[in-house]
Amino acid sequence: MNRMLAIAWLRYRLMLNRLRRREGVWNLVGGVLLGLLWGAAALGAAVAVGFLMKAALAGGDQDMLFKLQFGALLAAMLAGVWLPLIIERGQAGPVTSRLLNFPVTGGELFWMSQAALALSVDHLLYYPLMIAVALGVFLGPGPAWLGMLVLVSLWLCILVWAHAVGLTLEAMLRGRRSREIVGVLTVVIIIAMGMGPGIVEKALRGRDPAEFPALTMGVDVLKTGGKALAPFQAAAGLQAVRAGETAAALGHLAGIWAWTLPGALLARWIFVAFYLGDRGSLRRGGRRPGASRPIMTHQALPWELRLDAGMLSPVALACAAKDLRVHFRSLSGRLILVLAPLLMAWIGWFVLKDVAEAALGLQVGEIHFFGMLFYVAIFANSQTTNNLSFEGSGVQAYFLLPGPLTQVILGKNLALWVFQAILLAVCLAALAVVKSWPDPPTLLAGVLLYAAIIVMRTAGGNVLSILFPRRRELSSRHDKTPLMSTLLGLLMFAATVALAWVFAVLPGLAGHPGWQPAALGFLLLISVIGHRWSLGAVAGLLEDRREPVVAALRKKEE
Amino acid sequence: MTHAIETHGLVRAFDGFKAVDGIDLQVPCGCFFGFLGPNGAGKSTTIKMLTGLIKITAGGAAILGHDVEKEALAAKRVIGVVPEDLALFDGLTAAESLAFTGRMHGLDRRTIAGRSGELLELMDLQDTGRKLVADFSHGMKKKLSLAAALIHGPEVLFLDEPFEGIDAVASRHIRKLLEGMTDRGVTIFLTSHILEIVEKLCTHLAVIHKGRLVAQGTLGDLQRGIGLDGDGAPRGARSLEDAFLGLVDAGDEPTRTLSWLE
Ligand SMILES: Nc1ncnc2c1ncn2[C@@H]1O[C@H](COP(=O)(O)OP(=O)(O)O)[C@@H](O)[C@H]1O
Ligand SMILES: [Mg+2]
Repeated sequence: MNRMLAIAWLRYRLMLNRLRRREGVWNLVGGVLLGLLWGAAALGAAVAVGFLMKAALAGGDQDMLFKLQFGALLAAMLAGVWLPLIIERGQAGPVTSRLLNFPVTGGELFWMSQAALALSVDHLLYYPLMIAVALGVFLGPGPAWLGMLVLVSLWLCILVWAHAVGLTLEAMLRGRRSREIVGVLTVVIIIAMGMGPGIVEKALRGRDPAEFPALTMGVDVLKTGGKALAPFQAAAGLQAVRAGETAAALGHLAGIWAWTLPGALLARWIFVAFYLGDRGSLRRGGRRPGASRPIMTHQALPWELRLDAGMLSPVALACAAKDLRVHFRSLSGRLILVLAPLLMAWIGWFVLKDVAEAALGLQVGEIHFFGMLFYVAIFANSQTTNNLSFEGSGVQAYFLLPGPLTQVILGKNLALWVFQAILLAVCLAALAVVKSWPDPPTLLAGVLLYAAIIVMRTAGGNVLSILFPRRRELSSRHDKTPLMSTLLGLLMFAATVALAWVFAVLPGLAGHPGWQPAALGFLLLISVIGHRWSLGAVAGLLEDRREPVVAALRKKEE
Repeated sequence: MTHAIETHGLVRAFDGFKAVDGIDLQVPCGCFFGFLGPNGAGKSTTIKMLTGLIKITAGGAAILGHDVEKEALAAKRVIGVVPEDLALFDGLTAAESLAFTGRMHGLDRRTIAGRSGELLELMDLQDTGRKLVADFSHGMKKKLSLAAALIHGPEVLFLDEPFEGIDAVASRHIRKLLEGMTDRGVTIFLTSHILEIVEKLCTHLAVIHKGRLVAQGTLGDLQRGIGLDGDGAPRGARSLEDAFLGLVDAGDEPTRTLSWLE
């Protein structure tokens, strides 16, 4: 018990220390705000469900009650098992693995780790909901003990599966390469799930769903499968309790345990095989830098460009070549290269067909094309506002080597521009496949507009990167960009888009629509000059803030 | 003669706490200089100030006559550094890391290719191929950092705890290499808390304790107890260990014990 509490305490302590240690006050503010937000959401949902349930109980609306309880319990399961994974906090393993140094047996450690999960933040999130449902059990008819047994069983089921899934992912994600693959897959799946219904709806528009037997069958399978899920079993069990059908309630209870037991076995097996057995390298001291790890190799990519123009200083070129490599090697860079064209194709195919009127001073074709470009440009936010993020302790090299910092920053920005140019080319190719290109003047205007936006944002992003640096790992899928710089970066994005829009519509308003590319070219020119002009000041800022920057980038994620 | 490294009244404070408190160093050209002190004495902080990684609170320092703050670029051109954090980029391979450093120093491609081949061979890193630094072990990273510090042929080399975490074979190669370099006139400034290494390699020494310099001189001077600034320093100490323990106030104390382990 004592040790279990020690593990639970350790998890909180690590989280709080992380919050406290990170670059100053803004992260604390951000963390507290976020905590309040989560807390308010959790309590608010619980209170809302509670009142609705009370009303349904009073009105004797069994169907409504069932739906409410199923919804609440399903939400609890999702919050407990999947949310930690989606927000990349599946931390069942890392904390536990270090405890292997202490004199506990593997079995004890497994149970301690499992039990400590009950107190972790991720699980606190849905407890208010569960408590609301429990209150409903006491207020409603039927034996309360049986209802509570159902609820407690579901709670254990959630905990066990959270542990099992967390450990499985932990075991799968041991190597950097597999982490990257899983990262790409999850994002693609999430996006596919978001876009899927839209695509199906579009395809079905005006037709009878019965024409597609595979579809109806799929829906049936999903419905049957859904009924087997533990939250459904729990809700059905509670319903049976209310109706006084003890035998049925016990049947549903067994249904819950039919999930819990395999989950426990899976968790236990992964724990033994990967944490204690020779399959894992965590056995001795966890992921220390010196611990032997599988050898990861990196294949050269065909598009790894060699920048060798003679006009820039060798220092800027060296930095540009280095950063470009890192962009292509980072998971986020690769994700952008995969997702942006996909999104572009999707938007071009499905969404923009519905926009058929000229608006905002732009023609239909321009709205389509510029809109897509604005969308693609959003992807540059984390690259521009935290452009030091992948340096890690390497950032110190800039201060130790005799290259002027202006050239270093110029080189970094150059890499970003080349990356964005490649991204734009890939997106245009994707567009050519699903649709067709707009007419040449619009195409030219769009490219100029995109370039101007990117240049303006790198100029502003340089400052944000130095003010709010935060380290990222090559294989991390999430932005890990401090709250403030994300917000400021998005504001900056909105401002640049507005400015670009003004330059795009002004010629039309003045009666010379043909001048649009010239106006946008002028904007690009001003942006480039402004960027060049700002470099000196930015280099001075970096020189001045080198200590906080180095300190922020050397910290690994716990 | 100008010294390779010279500091006067060098101070670095962190929020009022003086990690380095007014030290005056003179490191002659071509010597193998050991900068000795217990954990937290201020060794790394001193190196970081000398190499421009952190700001100097008060006092000043010069490397081969170049003021480290006013002529920072000139100073950085002649130095090579293996800092505490190694300053490597996770996203590059070993060869790419060396190429990057070489290009930052303005070397041409052919020179870089030749030298990095030799360096990788020497550090036994030639087989790492396209493996990224992110996947290197700590010792491999340290060797790569040293290789990067050597690629431009520095005149003054700063090494922060270079042998910690390196295997015996590589450690011997590196020791040989470093000794050869000092023979050719390169100055090496090395911090360590391991006395054996310092005793084996260094010709000159300084001892820092709680941010203050407590001794400076040749190895022989220190072993004999000459060149000590403070009063109450032990005279006629027999070994470097005795001298060191005396200097950092640990010599005369009875060895401490733990009540429950007696
Ligand atoms: N960035 C920092 N902020 C606050 N204190 C620091 C910082 N860097 C070093 N110190 C403190 O300065 C002292 C000397 O540290 P350091 O020079 O790293 O010691 P060492 O001699 O072991 O290399 C230590 O007490 C350390 O805690
Ligand atoms: Mg140190």
